[in-house]
Amino acid sequence: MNTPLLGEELSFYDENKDDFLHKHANRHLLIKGRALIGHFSTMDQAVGEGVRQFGIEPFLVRLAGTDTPEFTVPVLALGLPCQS
Amino acid sequence: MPILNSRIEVKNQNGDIIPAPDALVSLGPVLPVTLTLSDEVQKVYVERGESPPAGVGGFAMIDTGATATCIDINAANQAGLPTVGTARMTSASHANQNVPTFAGKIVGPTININVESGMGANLSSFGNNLIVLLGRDLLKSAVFIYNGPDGHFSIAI
Repeated sequence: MNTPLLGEELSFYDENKDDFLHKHANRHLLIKGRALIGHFSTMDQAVGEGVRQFGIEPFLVRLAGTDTPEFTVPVLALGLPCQS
Repeated sequence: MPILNSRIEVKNQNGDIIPAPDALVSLGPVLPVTLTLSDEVQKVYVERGESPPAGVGGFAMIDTGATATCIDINAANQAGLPTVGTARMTSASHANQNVPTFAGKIVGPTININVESGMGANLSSFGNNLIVLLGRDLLKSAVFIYNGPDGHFSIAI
């Protein structure tokens, strides 16, 4: 069975979401495994630190208190309207 | 704010250049772009004395139907964009799908945009070297004019 991408990081974040929001409101969290590596004022800084520490391994960067983003892209669900 | 004007034209039998609105219908509003690392991540490579991966060239389509900007997964991996999260693609007609999100930069004529959370997608199946769908998260900062009869579009972002 495949491990879901960032499954451990997402579980850790969900379990601690309220606490993170309380302690680090408006901060971008950098999470790897079940550890909060740091919190940053910008997403860019958090991503930079993530690459500095973990290279090309996936890591989670999330604004404290936010949920998994949802999006809709009809062209991906239905295909391009014209391929001629 | 710089403006990109893109017009698709053909020569008619008399050799005159005329608009080609059908080509715009077929191709859609696309512009050449390069997908690359953000400045912050490029700095990390420089600190380490390593060369960052080269950017990946292709085309971006302006997609007012997409709530978020999408990045081709293969192109993102080739350009070395870090995976920084996941997102859920929702659809009325299909099962919801979890996808990786990438942080990077989209560079093109008159365009230099940081994408903090581009949604991973398989865009190669659409052909035409499509690597980015510019969604409404980025278009919220843009002025976009689509002139179908004249076969041209303009965007300032």
